[in-house]
Amino acid sequence: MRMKGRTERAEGQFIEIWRRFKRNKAAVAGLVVFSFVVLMALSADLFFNYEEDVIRQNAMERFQPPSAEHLLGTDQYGRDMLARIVYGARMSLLISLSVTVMSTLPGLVVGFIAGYFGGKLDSILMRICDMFMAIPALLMAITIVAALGPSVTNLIIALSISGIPSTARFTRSMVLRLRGEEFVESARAVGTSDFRIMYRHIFPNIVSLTIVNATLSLGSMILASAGLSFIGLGVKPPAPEWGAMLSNARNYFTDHPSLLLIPGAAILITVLSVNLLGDGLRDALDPKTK
Amino acid sequence: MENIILELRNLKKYFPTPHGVLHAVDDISLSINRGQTLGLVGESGCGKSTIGRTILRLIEPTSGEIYFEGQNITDIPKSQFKSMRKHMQFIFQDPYSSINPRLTVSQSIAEPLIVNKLASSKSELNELVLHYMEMVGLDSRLASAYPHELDGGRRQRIGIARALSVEPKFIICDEPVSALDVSIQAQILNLVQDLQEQLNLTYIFVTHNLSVVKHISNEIAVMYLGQLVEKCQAEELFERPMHPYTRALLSAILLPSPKSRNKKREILRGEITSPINPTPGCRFAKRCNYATAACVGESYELRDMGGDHMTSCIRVISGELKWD
Repeated sequence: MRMKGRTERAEGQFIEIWRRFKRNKAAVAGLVVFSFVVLMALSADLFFNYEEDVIRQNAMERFQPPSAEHLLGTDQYGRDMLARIVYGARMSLLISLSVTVMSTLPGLVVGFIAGYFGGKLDSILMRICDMFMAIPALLMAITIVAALGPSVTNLIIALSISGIPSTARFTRSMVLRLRGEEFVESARAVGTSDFRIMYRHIFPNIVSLTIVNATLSLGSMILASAGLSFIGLGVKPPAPEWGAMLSNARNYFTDHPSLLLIPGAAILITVLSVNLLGDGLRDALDPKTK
Repeated sequence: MENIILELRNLKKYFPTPHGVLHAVDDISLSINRGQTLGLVGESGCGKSTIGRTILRLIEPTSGEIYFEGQNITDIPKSQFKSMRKHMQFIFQDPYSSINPRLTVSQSIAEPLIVNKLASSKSELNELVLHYMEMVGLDSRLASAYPHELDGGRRQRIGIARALSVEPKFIICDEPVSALDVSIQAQILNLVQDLQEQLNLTYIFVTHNLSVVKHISNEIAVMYLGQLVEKCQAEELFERPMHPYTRALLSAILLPSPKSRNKKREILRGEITSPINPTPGCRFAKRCNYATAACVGESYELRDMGGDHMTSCIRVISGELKWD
């Protein structure tokens, strides 16, 4: 009976959050567009054949304008633009999602340790973070990829490492604030272990802000991966990636601007929708906005 | 004495600050008998809450010893102190910040039971939670409510249920009613008193409000800037206060009576002096209406003036200062 009561409450909370989220029209638009991009990336195989449409070059069909056969036309190698955009979405999301997870989780751990235990450990961890943050994230990612060699895996590693310090700092500041709260002292007074205080009492109080932060960083990671691919340090051709597509289209910009504009628009729309979604989530998850 | 449940011997807690050493608790010795309530009174910043937190080792004492049931608990390493926390509990001042906002009422009360492994099964846990909710007067329908849906009095009942759930013998109540509406204060005080009778609990009741402790204390200790200035039976304190500071505190109690309009009051001058690097001598001297040159320069200890009535005022001890 009691368990039932609890799940009903949890559902009630989600309904409440959804109700607040719904009122922000821009955020709902962001959610719709981003869901569409995700769906597109997931169902790419239903509409296109990777080898046939995305990779194989076809000299006879170069620079075709949009037609029934090629909805967005073809590129300089006669490949279908729509297929490349759709598979590019898959690549962009794969990279940005893994980077977000791989920079948020270690960042959380470091932030928790530094914020909760404080003292020398905190100083050491934060000075290391300062060192990393002194170098611009993108520049550091470039350095790491240059050292490891360009590949999707290395791109993910590089962007993850460059994202850890800011997550760690962000987490630390929240943990630091909550550690001083009386309910944490109250938990200690009844004999709760440090580990349990962290996951049972502090973590639930920062999880919503962490989700918002991760969502917003998702957008910047899409941009960063496109940026690195643009300068040739990410996904290698012929694999489709929005940034790489932009880069390759530069030479044909004056005659065939659509080759440049289409991936550019894809990046713009996706990043914008993610950011709107993140903003909406931030407002919706804050119980103070009624 | 076997009846003594808790004894403090020369307890000190100093905090280093950029301006010097802050003497929050300075050489406090006192003892409490089983089943009794000691009222610990003093103004903000005099160190009364620090004493409570030091006893539970929420903060570590600088020096001195704490004996619980004859055992020196200041020696116990922090990692093994957990077992002591089952005997001693703490009720916090502010029920708004001392309850985790993300846990429901039943989750909050279940926490101490889970942490101390006091329930062997899920159904037993639920039973115990409901048992303690009933004990503190929380309706069982509130089990899945979140703290922000409840008023201060109900929140404080959660705090009390949490403290009771480990079946302690001794509870430190740190101003448990000062954050509550006056209308709810009496309810919580009655609850705290009823629980003491039911469960044979011993309390240290920390407060800045003398009229609150008058009702529930057996003994009252008055603190000023980290030191005890007076300690005696509760009625005795109200009838024959000895220390000028105690007299000033008593005269500050407002009575809703037209007669009290003409009552002569002891008005204190100045502000509370800094507890950082205090000079020897009576710490109250700078604000005392009766201070003389004898009051500063030398430190004085509590002296028994007969009938367990202790005071530290040298002028009262020497007989120079007599109250009628």
